[in-house]
Amino acid sequence: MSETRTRILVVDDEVAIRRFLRTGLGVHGFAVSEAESGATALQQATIVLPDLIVLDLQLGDMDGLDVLARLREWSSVPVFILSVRARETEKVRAFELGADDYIVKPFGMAEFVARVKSALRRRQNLQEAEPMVTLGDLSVDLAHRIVTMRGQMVKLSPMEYKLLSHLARHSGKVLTHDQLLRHGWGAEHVGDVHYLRIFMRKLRRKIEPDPTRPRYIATELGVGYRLLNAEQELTLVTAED
Amino acid sequence: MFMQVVDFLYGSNWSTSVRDKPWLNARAILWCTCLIGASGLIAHGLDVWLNLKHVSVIFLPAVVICAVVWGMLASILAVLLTLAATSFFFYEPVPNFRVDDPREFLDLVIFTLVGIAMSQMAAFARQQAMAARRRADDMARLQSLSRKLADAAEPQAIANAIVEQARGKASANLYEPQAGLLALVASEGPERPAMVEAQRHWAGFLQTKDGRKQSQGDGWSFHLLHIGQPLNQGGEALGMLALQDDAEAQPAFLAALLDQAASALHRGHLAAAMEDSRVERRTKRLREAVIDAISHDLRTPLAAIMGAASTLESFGTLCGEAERAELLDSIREQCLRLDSNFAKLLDLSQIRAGELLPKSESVELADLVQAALHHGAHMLRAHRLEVALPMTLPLLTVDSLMLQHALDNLLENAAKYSPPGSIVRIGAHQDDGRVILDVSDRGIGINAADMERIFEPFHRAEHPPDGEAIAPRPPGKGLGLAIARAFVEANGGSLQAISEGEGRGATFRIILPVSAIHGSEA
Repeated sequence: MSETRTRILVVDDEVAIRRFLRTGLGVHGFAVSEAESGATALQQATIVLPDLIVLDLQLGDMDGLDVLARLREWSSVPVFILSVRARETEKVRAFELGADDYIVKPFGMAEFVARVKSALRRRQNLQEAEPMVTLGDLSVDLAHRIVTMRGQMVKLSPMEYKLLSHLARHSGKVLTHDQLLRHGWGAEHVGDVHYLRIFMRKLRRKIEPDPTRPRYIATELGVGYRLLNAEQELTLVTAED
Repeated sequence: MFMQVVDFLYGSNWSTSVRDKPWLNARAILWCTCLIGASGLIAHGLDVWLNLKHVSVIFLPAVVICAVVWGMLASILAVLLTLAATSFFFYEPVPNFRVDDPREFLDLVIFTLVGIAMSQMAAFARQQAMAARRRADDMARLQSLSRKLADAAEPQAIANAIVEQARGKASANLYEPQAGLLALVASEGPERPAMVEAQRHWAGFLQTKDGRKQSQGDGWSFHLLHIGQPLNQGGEALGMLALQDDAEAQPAFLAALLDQAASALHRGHLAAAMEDSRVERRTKRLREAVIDAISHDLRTPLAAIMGAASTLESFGTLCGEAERAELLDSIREQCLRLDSNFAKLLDLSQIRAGELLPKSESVELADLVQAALHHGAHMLRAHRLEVALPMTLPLLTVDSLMLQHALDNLLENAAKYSPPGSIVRIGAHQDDGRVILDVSDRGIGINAADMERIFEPFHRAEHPPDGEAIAPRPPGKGLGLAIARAFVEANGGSLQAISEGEGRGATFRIILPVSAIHGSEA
């Protein structure tokens, strides 16, 4: 029975944080393992083979980002970064190193669990190679390269489709400006955020009902963009109403 | 009239510049020759007309003029020229330098003696005039120094006045010990002695306790500035003045100058010390006010959290479902408040430390607004939100996080000072190349008198009514707006408050100038 439960490894040197995450995740049926240092975290990751890792950036023995980099050498397990620092440069570094989400302390448990579930589902979809991403009225058919709004086909330029499909393939996850620029235009355009903004504006005008209040493509200020997935879109809409 | 003629001949103002021109220069030689030549012509005329035989006397005025204007060397030159001219042109045999007539020879000998005597006297008179002039000069410099020193209040201004007046025609440098090391505090003129030299002399003064000036071979001399008794009788060394080419200066003048300079420096130090202690008192008061404010902003939410949590712990079973939910909600709310207050303090410390370096990046205004609305959603839950952003706004080039924080604070402000259920409106438009973003509420409004004061952090603390006790700060007020303004201004924009008065709502307007806009695209 216990083998089938989803296992989450919580890495934080603060007992209080580990305690409430253990409780909060436990009541949602997750099996929780804990590590209080970077070294134990790397060890645990190979032993318990978690389905998701929650990683604090400030650990006693090493920097959380170093732990992430070491992990990424052999594992593609989803990693959630926890941090008290909200600087965008740090978020960008985390995403570039392969983090799946970045959560600034303090945070609410409901949102945290929702994000964990969404990341787990995304991983499952990725493994099943779901060729169709649907979000409200918008659907992106990755197999046939077709984008529709309420069943109507939307005409996108090749570059607009390239950006949208890249976001859709990582639906729910933040892609940094540089990751998008590298994908769309190549490494020499890295840093050219203005370029990206112009294409995003065009893209949003075609797929967003109100481009000044986007509900499909969310901006992470100073970091990048994210195509919301179904439940993220739902929470955003209810939060505003 | 006489002085004008002298100035004209000398080529510049004789009395003031007589000190520094060499006594015999090209101009002097030329003029001497001309004067003697002119005298020769007059002598020739008189010779022809009156058959005047002993013409040398005609040349005497020219010799005297040369002596007065250019000094002794010039007058000797004039005497020699006269001897040459008379023996060649006037005394037989002509034209020849020989003089055969003993009477004429005697005439020339007497002329030479008289000429040399006169040039001696003229040169002496000249020196007297120069000395008088110098005394007057020194007096004027001392007076001017006193005036300048009286005007100067700060130590730096005093130091500048000292070197300016002490330099004379050359360079002057003033040194003072600062934190145990000698430092150059003021400098006038093109040159400076090497710092190691200055340090050596300073150490010499302190070691020997001898206040007399120390000279160097290269024209620099070092003078100790001290207050009270001489150093060896308990006087205090204040600093050191290095003067270039002060050999001509009167010792009395120098002594007076050093004396004045020292007492002015002393006065400056006393004034600065008083100002320091005043600033320190004010800083201490401000620090206390800031600590009070921080304690308030951090402890109040903590108290609420503690209260709610301990109520749940001790009496949770006695509470109904609704009460429990309320207490839990209050814990969550107060945590957010604590977090937001903490973020503000971090922002403020960043601003205070002067570390605001905007990381400018192309950004959609709509994205900024969305981020701020997302962040402030819990505060604005009770309000009706209207967002009207035109699609045609150009992209901005700003530090998006700073601007989002500014906007966060404006939204929090609007939520805090307007009643639940009222409208909070966010609007934007483009005007004359500027992008204008308004956050309007229908809340308590702002007094005309407070329109600027609300942007000052801890403003009551910064301007206490004449150093008296500080009125307590209204909870949470001021800090957010101060941060908002600092962040907007760091991005080249401006933030202003608009209100028709108390009870009539307020609009906070962010204006981002053309320079922050990247140009508009379709």
